[in-house]
Amino acid sequence: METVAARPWWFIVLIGRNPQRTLARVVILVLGCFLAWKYVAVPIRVEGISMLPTYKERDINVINRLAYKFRDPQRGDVVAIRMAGEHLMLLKRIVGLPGETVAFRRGRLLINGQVVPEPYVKFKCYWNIPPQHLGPGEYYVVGDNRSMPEADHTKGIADRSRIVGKALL
Amino acid sequence: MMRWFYRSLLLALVIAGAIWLWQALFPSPEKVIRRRLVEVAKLASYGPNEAPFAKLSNTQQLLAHFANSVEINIEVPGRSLHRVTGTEELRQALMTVRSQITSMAVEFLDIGVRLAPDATSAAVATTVRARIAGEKDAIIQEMKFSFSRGEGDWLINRIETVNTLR
Repeated sequence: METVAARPWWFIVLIGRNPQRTLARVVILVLGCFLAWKYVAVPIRVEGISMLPTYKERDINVINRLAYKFRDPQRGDVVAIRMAGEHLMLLKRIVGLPGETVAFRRGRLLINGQVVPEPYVKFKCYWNIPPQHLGPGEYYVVGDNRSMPEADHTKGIADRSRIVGKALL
Repeated sequence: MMRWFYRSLLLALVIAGAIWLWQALFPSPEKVIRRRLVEVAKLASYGPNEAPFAKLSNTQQLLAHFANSVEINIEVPGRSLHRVTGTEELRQALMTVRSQITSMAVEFLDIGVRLAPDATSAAVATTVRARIAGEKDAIIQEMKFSFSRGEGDWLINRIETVNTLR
């Protein structure tokens, strides 16, 4: 008769009764997380104040890469815009869509000459930006914090190819 | 059976070692350029207590990575525009920066190297992150570097800012 030495309780708690199966689970979990974070939902940390008060500095968020696989970005979407790569990205809100003319007058957003309400903008803004026409595949993006001088705020026209995905949270 | 397994394993290790050694001795131009940028970032960064001699020496070492006819155009929206031509002008600009800014930490992120078909020049896209003493937010800017191969060495002959948003 063959006897198997009983495993200590801490081994069963940490590794489980079947180490091979635990190892396989760990590998699948790590691989799954890696693929999900790289190709589906990219975790990011917010730096800077340009998206206040919607996103504060050091907030954690997730970018959904699949958001625009089957549909185009919409006005009001908060999107990540890649720079040279995706290590550092800009987090901005889309306010202008392809074919539209975007302008700011006394802090109010004008699309094709019409005022568009922006409930997410909480701080007073006095920007005046002349009309800019957006071509095909061009989106006008801007942060929610318009309290700073217009020249200090990174905003402008982003090509569709630079939009990585939509903020999930 | 086990003998064959160990022999195959040993052979695989020898091949991997040979490849590693070959790449270490004869690195690809892309690897050389990446390494060069890491050195440039290291030399462009300095602490608050950099001694005057170290200041001169690091600036001199940094200049060694640039071609004599280097052209630098830095245009950050909302900030001033800087144009530098030639290593002498660059030396003065670097010394001015080092004397006016207490400390700076420069990083090149997302480095993408595109080698020309004749392998004598290369375009590098990168995002620069510079942390400056006394400033809460880091300066983040997309940039393009042009390298050329002169006298067997890769030197920077042009730097320009890229506007992520227009």
